[in-house]
Amino acid sequence: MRKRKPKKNNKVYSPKGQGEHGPIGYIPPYIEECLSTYKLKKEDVKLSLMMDFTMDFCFGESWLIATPGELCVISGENVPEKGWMPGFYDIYEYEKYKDLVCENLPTSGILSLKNIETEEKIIVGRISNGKAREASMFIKHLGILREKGDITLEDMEEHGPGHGHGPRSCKKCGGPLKPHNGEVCDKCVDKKKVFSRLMEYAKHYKVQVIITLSLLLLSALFMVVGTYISGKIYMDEVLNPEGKYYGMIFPVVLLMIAVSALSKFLDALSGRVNAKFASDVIYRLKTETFASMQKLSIKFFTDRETGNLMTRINNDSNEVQWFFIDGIPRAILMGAQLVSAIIIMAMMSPLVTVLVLIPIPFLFMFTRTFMPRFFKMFRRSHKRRSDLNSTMNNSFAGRKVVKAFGREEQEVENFDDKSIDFATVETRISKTGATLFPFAGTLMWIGSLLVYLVGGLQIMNGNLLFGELTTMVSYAGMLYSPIQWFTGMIQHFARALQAANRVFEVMDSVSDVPEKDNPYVKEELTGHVKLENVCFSYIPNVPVLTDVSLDVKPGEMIGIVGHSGAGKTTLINLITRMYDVDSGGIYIDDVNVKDYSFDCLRRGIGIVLQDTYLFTGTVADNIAYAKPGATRDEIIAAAKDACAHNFIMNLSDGYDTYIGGGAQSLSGGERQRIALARAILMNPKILVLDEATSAVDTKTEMEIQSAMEKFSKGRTTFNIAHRLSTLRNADRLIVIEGGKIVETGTHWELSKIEGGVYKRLYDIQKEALKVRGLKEEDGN
Amino acid sequence: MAIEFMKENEIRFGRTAGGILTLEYMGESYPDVVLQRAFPLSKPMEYISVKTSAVHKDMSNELGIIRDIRLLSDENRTHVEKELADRYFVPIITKIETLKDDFGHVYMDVITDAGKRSIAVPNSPANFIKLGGNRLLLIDFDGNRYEIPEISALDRKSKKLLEVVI
Repeated sequence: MRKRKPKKNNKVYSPKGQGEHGPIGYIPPYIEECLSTYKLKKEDVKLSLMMDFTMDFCFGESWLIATPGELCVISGENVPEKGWMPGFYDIYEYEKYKDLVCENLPTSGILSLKNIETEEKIIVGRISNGKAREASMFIKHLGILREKGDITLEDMEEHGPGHGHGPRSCKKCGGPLKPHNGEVCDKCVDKKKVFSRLMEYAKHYKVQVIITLSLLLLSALFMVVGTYISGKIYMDEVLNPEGKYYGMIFPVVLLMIAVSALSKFLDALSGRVNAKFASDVIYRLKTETFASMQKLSIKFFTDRETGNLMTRINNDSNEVQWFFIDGIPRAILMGAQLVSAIIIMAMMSPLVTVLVLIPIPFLFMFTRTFMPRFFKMFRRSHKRRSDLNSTMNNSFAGRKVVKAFGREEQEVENFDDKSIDFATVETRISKTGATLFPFAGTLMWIGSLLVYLVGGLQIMNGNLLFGELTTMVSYAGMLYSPIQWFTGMIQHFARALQAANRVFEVMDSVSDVPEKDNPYVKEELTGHVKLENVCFSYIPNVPVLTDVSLDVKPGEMIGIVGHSGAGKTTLINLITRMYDVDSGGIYIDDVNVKDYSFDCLRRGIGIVLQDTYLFTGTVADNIAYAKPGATRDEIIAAAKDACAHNFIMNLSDGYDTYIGGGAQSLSGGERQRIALARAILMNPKILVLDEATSAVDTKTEMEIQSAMEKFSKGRTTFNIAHRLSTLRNADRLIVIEGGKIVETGTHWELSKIEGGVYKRLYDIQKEALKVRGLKEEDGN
Repeated sequence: MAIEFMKENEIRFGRTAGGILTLEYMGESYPDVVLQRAFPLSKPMEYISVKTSAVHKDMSNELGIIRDIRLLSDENRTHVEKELADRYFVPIITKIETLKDDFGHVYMDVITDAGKRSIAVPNSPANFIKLGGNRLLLIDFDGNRYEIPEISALDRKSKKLLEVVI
């Protein structure tokens, strides 16, 4: 390591905003400018990484710059008032140091190098979690650069974006994208666009929308007219001896009833039409969301809680439903009422109209100030309610544990606590409501009072008629409630739009395991599986598989052995393309799995997992899940192959036995055998068994094995098992440790390697069986 | 299995030029040790596990547990405090300059003990975690953490801004 102090330099460099930097290899002008200070040439800069911390763990900026021969660290400092200033500069020659590593700490990452001679670790920089992906790419690219002395764009492409961990950037602001984002980041979501996109859905229902709209407007109109009749016309024209309709009490009262009834009838009618339309829209929205979720990769689901996803589909679309059923129609109705009432009032007396409008700003302010508090309380109440629910849920779900440890009383206490919390908030809401609403009423009452006062004076002057005053007072009431509603509903609208945005977000999510545009389709696979230098990690900088290569001949049975967490399941997740490899490739019949159509891949590969999931339905339905048209002969044959036939026949309704979700009534081993039958029925060329027989007893397992032996003839089989005896018939065993294949061979070959991983595992299991008084029933 | 508490008077922590924590304990020397908190939130300075840096995550390489770092000598305690502060780096928010709740995300400009920073925190209880009545843990979009140890100790403006979200 050489340290160089920069020349005296008073130049001020202005940093860009945090986290918004260009692609790897790019350096901003202010770093470029200070390169010469450190005697570095711009052409030599092959890779670069901005680290968003200074060395003393402050937010700031320091840079890792890789040239063909050295790794350079430029650590800077944030100087108050001046911005970023370059500070110390370190050089690490590649020949003296081992590869750069990134250690993921709970809240940040530390990049370090190790001296080849002294084994001493040196910290070169720190990054926040947001930079982890970029750092992982940098490390990968640096490896290539060190090996080849240069790195080209093609190298980067090959190991870069599109292979899992490359940072995608927002099309609008260039900022980093989250995995669930589509093209733009959360910041750049256009609210107007969400609204108009929501309205797009209404397009399919033009007729209904026009009908609802006109019905609503008519209803509002009739309401305004009704008030006019009962006030102005009735008082001034009917009761007044000088009026046009003097004495026509019955017809006019009848008219009043008719108009009001008509208004209500139209309102109801529009509600009916709208209900159908809104439900249809929500139905479409829900189905589309669900369908888009199904298209997403398994990663999308493991990254999120199931409950969260269900909330998205259900609650969010309910929120959107409010938007269509209550929000928009009522906004239109209230708006129409407001405008027409003001117009008629202005025609009768502009002065009084102005006075009526006086309390409106106050009302607006009042609602704006107090409604948020109210909403906050509602949110709190909502939270407490869900706390209460989850307490109950926890207690019911864990009822066996509660009983077993005799903790009933504690559970009651727990529930009581949450229940009191909830009650407290509810009380506060009611109390606040009881105080606030009369107050708002008073404000409106002041408005009416002004009307009475000024209107009364005008009547005395002969400028206003008695009926006009009554009408105006009623209109004043009609003004205030829409205004209050609008101010209160602003937040509700925002929430509905948020919900809509979340729904759209799911719809727009891009699967990180995408199907090719013109995927390769093959009628039947032969089952030749080849892995070439496969590398994979779930979290950047934490490799799970490194450089795994394997060539499996058609029909071969491969047993996969290793400690838990070694990467066995990951390996088959990659072969079945639940995830995509970071680098390297997986080929089935010499075609990359990425090129296959999903349909072809899923039909060709049968999978049985340790946690079998059975759907609500009959046993036969469950076996035929992957092949809905299967005949009863086929179903029974498959069940027989999976050694499930006998126990199924003993169920009360045989193959027609109805199993509820989770299949509580079946034992673990029985469920596994149904899952096995499911895979067998598909008749796949490649069979993947991940601890598929872990829950069955030894005798049944042996039965299954002999059945499987027949079945797996001519099929390529991957079998993961903890019980090593399960794998004795495998053509080849591969032992995985620390993400690498460390041993390959048959059981006999591997059990002879002294000090080998397999032998160790095998000996431990044999020992354990002996202790329990069992003997390995093999031909050893 | 009983907990193996370390003998405080046998502990000699040190640090290499490259910034790595070293340890001499009971006559053995360890060139690269890692400290882990057993209760990072409730007891950050007690029950500190001392490990040699591991090859495999399941491998047990715990040398022992320090019951309470206040029992260590001043020099050792400085080393441990520095290491823990680095490892469990959580900036303390001292002031909130702006806060905007926009579309499910709260955008904040905050001043922390590690400098100024603009952060985006999803507006959900899982991201604004209340630890006791007065302590707040924020987890931003990228999973970075920030802490407000005492909400009531913030200045008025910050408190008022914060009210919108908690």
